[in-house]
Amino acid sequence: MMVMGQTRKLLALLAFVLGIAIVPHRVCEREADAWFDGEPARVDALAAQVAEWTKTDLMPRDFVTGSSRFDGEWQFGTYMMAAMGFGQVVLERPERREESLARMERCLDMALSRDVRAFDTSAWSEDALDALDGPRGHAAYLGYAGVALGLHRNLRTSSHFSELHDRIVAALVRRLDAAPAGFLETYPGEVYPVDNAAVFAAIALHARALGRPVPAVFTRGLAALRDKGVDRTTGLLVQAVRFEDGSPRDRARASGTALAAYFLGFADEPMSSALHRALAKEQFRTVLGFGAMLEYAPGSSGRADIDSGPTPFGFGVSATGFALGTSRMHGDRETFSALYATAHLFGAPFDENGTRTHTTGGPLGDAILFAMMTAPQKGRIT
Amino acid sequence: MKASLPRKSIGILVASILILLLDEALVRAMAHGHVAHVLLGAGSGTPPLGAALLALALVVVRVLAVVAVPGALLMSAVGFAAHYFVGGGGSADSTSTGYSTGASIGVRGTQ
Repeated sequence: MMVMGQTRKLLALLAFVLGIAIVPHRVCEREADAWFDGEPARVDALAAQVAEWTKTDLMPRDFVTGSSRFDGEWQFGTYMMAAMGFGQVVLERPERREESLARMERCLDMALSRDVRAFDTSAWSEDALDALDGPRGHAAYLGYAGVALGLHRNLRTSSHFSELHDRIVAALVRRLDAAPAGFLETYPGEVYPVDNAAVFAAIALHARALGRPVPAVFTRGLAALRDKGVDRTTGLLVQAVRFEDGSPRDRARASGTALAAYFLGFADEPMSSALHRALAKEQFRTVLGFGAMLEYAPGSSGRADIDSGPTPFGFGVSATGFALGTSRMHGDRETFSALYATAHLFGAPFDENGTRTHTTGGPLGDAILFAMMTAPQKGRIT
Repeated sequence: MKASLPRKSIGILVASILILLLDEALVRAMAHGHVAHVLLGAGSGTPPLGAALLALALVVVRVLAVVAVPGALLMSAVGFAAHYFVGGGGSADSTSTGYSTGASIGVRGTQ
């Protein structure tokens, strides 16, 4: 009987371990294939929720980062990512074109509004859109807005955004041409390669929409990004560089790399693919089948910040979310599924009345996941 | 042999169901909240205590519900199966045999 008791104990323990190892990630990734393949029912439910969020005017006070600049960035980011998601739905689902374009245009109108761009105005002491003829960077605001406007222009060649879109891209090209190291500043004295990746995507999408070749500065800028922005050891993107010479001010990190890989998917597929491969090779880990991206390169550690989000055990929330997009873009179903399982676990999706919201996501989380999980697969845009 | 059900397996089953219900309730209650902003903004400032606690509770309960409960349910099932096919030795069951005083007494009593 003693042996039987021990056998029962062992069986119970084995059952517990098996239950933990086999069941949870499979339960959480059960919808991953549907998202990867763009199943309409999934996409429509999240699109409906994001449309609900962006139908009302989000205020900076809806975001509680502890910094008015970051609150403003997140407000802008919500509209921008939502616009990307709606635009990407049009790429995959022509039958939803008019509804999705209307939703996208609502987001673009909000992203371009004076109130929403106030965070950038405050940082620069000048309004990005009023100062388009000036020399100063505004890389994040103009770059991110330019990407969304560029995607929209590829879907609707002529609209009330066209003139402003032309002026934004012209300003970015001119400023990039004058930049000493090939990088534009996001804020005075602050240069982030990931924001410059958005600038390149904005320029590329504009050229494609108008059927023009990309300007020479685009090629030079991409070369600068590749030479100075990419860490040679890991292949990851450096998080921050100096304006004057492009030398690194921060380490290579996964959050910037993943978001840049997403943006560059609209501009330069080989570089986007190289960044995704670096992420998959260097940063991707699974724990009990749940996938996540380490924020810092293996062997190094660092603080969590507004870019990384929390980094429990070194895993970056932002990097993991953005990598969903690059995985889908580059046809990496296995990585996508493992990352999706984690997003499902910690995002805590909740379905109601034909909508899906991520309980721990709120407007920004839903908008980012919407953009990432509908990121265009190769051939859809490039 | 089957005079009483395996108490520990029942306990695990009930606890698992309670955790699942709590997870469902928390997810539902917080579905329209802005918990993400607390979580994502943690790097740049101190989040409000109440919101942080709510967020933490959801994360802990959810990890338990999604990761631990399947293992616990399987363990409980093994306990019920062992009790049904082999017998519990009084009130003992597979999961309690090795863990509880009652189970040990049951084993001794048969020797």
